[in-house]
Amino acid sequence: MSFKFDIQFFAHKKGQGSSTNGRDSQPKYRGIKVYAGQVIKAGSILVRQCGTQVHPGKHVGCGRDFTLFALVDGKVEYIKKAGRKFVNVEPVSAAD
Amino acid sequence: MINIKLYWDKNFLTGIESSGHSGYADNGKDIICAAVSSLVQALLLGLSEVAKVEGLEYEIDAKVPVIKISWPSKAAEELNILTRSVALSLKEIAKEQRRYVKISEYKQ
Repeated sequence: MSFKFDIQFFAHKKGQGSSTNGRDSQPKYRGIKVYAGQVIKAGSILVRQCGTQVHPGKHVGCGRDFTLFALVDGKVEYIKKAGRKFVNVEPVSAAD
Repeated sequence: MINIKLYWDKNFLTGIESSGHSGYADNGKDIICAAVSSLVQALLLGLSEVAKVEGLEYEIDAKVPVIKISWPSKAAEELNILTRSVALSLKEIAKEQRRYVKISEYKQ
């Protein structure tokens, strides 16, 4: 006769509780997409953000979802002015 | 709720099946489960180890959980003292704890 005498055989097994965690929202892939010093083409996305963490500077446009993008070909530059971050695109002249 | 089925042949018990969680309390604190578990497993031990019944069949599955025990009708009479005592004890528990234990009886 091989069985283990279990005085709690008909009880709920311990540790069968459930947790109320385990949920998460979809990733949004925000952040800076082009860093300072990089040369980009007009229309390239520079920053994906929620609200204006970084403000549009010279030759930079701002989309309805606060996406910043280049308006001209050029080199990317990040500066701080009056406590705010700005991103500029310095046009690269043909000679450069 | 623990469902207990008692199988009778004339006046003698020939099988018992107990299944389900009692739901009275968590593991380690469930006194109703302890009472039923002890009686059913004591019956199984008595039949197999003490009475050494030939033709004894049993099935134990802790996941369900379920314990099924059955023995030949020809041995039922001589085992009556043990089996009827357990059956009556289970009935008393079920009478007192209607919410957690339910007994149903089947005549063969």
